[in-house]
Amino acid sequence: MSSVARSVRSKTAPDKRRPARQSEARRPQLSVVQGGRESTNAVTGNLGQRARGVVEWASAQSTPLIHFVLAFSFLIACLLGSLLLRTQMVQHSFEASSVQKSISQLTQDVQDDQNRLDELQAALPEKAQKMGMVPQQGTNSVDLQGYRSIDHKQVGTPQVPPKQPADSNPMQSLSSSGGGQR
Amino acid sequence: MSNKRRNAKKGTSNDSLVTFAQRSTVIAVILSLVAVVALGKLAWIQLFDGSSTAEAATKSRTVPRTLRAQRGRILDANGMVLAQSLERYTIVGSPKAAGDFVPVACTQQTKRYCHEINGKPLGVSGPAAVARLLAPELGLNAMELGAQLSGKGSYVIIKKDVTPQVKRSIDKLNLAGVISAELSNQRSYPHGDLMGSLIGGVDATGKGVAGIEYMENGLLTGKDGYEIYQQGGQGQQIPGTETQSKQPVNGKDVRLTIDGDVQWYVQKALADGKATYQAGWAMAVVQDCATGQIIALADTENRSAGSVEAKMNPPLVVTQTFEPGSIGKTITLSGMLQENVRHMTDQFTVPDHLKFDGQEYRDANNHKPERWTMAGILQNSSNVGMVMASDKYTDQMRYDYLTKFGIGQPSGLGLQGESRGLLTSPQAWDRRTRNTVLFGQGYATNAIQLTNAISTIANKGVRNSQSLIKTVTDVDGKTNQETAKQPVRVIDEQVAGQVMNGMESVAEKFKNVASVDGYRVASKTGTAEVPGKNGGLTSIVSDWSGIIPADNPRFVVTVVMKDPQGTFGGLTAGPVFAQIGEFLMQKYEVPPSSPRTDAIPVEW
Repeated sequence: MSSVARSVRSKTAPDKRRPARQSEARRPQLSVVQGGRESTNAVTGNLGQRARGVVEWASAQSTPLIHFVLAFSFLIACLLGSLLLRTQMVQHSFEASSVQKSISQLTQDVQDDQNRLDELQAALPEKAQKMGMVPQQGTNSVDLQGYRSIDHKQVGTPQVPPKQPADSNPMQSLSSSGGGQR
Repeated sequence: MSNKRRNAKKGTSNDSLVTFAQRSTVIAVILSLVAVVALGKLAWIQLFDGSSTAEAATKSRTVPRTLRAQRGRILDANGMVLAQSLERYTIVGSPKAAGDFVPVACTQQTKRYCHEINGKPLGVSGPAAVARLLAPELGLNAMELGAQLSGKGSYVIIKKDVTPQVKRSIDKLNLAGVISAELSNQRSYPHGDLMGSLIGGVDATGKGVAGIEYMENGLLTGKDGYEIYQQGGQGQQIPGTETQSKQPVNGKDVRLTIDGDVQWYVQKALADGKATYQAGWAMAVVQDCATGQIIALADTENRSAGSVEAKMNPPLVVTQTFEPGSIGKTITLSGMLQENVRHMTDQFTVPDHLKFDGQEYRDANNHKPERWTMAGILQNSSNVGMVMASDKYTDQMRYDYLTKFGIGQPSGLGLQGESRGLLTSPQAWDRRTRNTVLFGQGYATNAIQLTNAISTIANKGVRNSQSLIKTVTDVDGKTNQETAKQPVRVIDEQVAGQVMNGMESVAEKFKNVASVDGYRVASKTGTAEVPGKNGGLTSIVSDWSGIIPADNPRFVVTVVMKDPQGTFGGLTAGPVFAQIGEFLMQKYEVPPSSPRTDAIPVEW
């Protein structure tokens, strides 16, 4: 029922809705050419008929052709877009893989260098000994027991603190020793 | 006529134009159709219909791979790396692929994947060609490698523990498909000779089998991860094809209480002492009095960490048990003072030998009867004096205080191969043993237990649990302090102070051979006969355990030597103790001691 209804509507106002039909009406005049090859005319005629068929079919639809073209273009664009995104994704994946590989290599290099540094550090004491270095021995202390700061008014007569052995009362002594060689 | 010709010519020209346009249109339409069909097919395969086809192909390419977790590091107290895992590769060859290998001659077009040595063609093919390319990179003999690759099968391990640098140079040989590399881990010990037996080692699978590696294997071992991905024709991962993955969790870092610097110096001092006194072996333990942390644990065996020797032989300090000799008198004195059966000022006339309960006891030196106090008996290390003073010190008290000080008890360190020593119950003691235990004979201990016993006195009578592990750090950097057991009070602070006072008098007696300038020392020497090679009591163990500084105890150092020339601990192990003590004071910048003013009289 619905197809019949569409057919009726297309006949009611052909000039207004489908102005292209006017040009098609002139096409038979163009096809009448003297001396033309029949075979060529037959092919083009067939193609023309098919094209006309498509156009007529499209014209027979309630949806305008422009909508159909837009929808089709949109679909094609989506298709191409998804293909592009997929390609891009794979490309990025390759790049990520490459970066990951570089990170792994750098990590390995850092590990190896650190290990080499540790080994050299471990060999330091032995090398120092071979060079004649010896660990620090003995402790030097400065005894501040009885120390008084020099009065600026009596600069000419400084008071010398009583001399005591370094370990006699080293409560306030300062050890001058460091950590010593390892 | 001419009009006809013109019309005919014009008609022919129009015809050819129409024909060209029609042909072009037809071709364009055909090409467009082909393009649309191709695009449609591509879209169909990629987006709709490809799934079933791709699924089968994907399934054949998809492989699971284990992601190995790295074993944690072992660090010293200062953060110095003692053990760590490094990424290495196992180079694997395929004899089958090597047999089919045909080198590609180098040209402008093939220069990215061709094969040559020093700019010259190989001249051979098959395994020989592969071996010629590969052998120089791995430092192997080309002929032996060629023979290795000439067999059948597709999996031959060529070399293990290959460095990443070498692996990368192998990658550039364009031998994919013939030679591959598998990621592995190698345990590295940068300070190999430093406490090798204590660190221990791992087996081929990376599992700890000795020493700290074994003891802390649970913490050091990580959790492997996995990933499932698609691989290419050469076995390489196709990027973006990873479907499932679980990242590995690396093992935790274990930081020891051992100070690498002190350990190194103690090892050196022991080696020097062993050479000087021509001892069979020497060992030493350094402990922090306040915390119970072991600062150094050394011996003269010097086994490299990770070596077979290090895996097979635990450190001497945990395996060697010995009678502590006169050092044991400090425990007896502590017990007698704590039980209030004696006081430091009690007066005795002490001969050099004594017959008691059918047994004869002698001092190390002959002397006339001496008027000594308890402090004097300790200072002169008199066996006879100890027996005389212990008339009210029951067998059960003797056993209880030895046990409370940790003799015959596990140290709690958990070291593999550690002996808890030997202490029998008082019911098993005979008439002699019940008295010899007073001066450190009749029971056995190891150097770690003995150190903690002296450290208890230094720590005002409180016995700490000893520890070797300071902290454990996970991969996220979260550090956990190892929880120590609750300290136990063994003797009163006042009693500990009195024993310290007596030990300081002992150290003063040896100030000419074992003193540290600027610092007061409290110590006790010991000498005991131990079984020799023939099983008889033919060997001597000389030991010295000292607290430094005596006025503000920081460290306890125990030095033990076997069969030193000089016999007595004070003359052999004592100087080594002084050397170590001096280094400790310098290293930790300990303020010098105040003068001694409260010495308990040793004579009357």
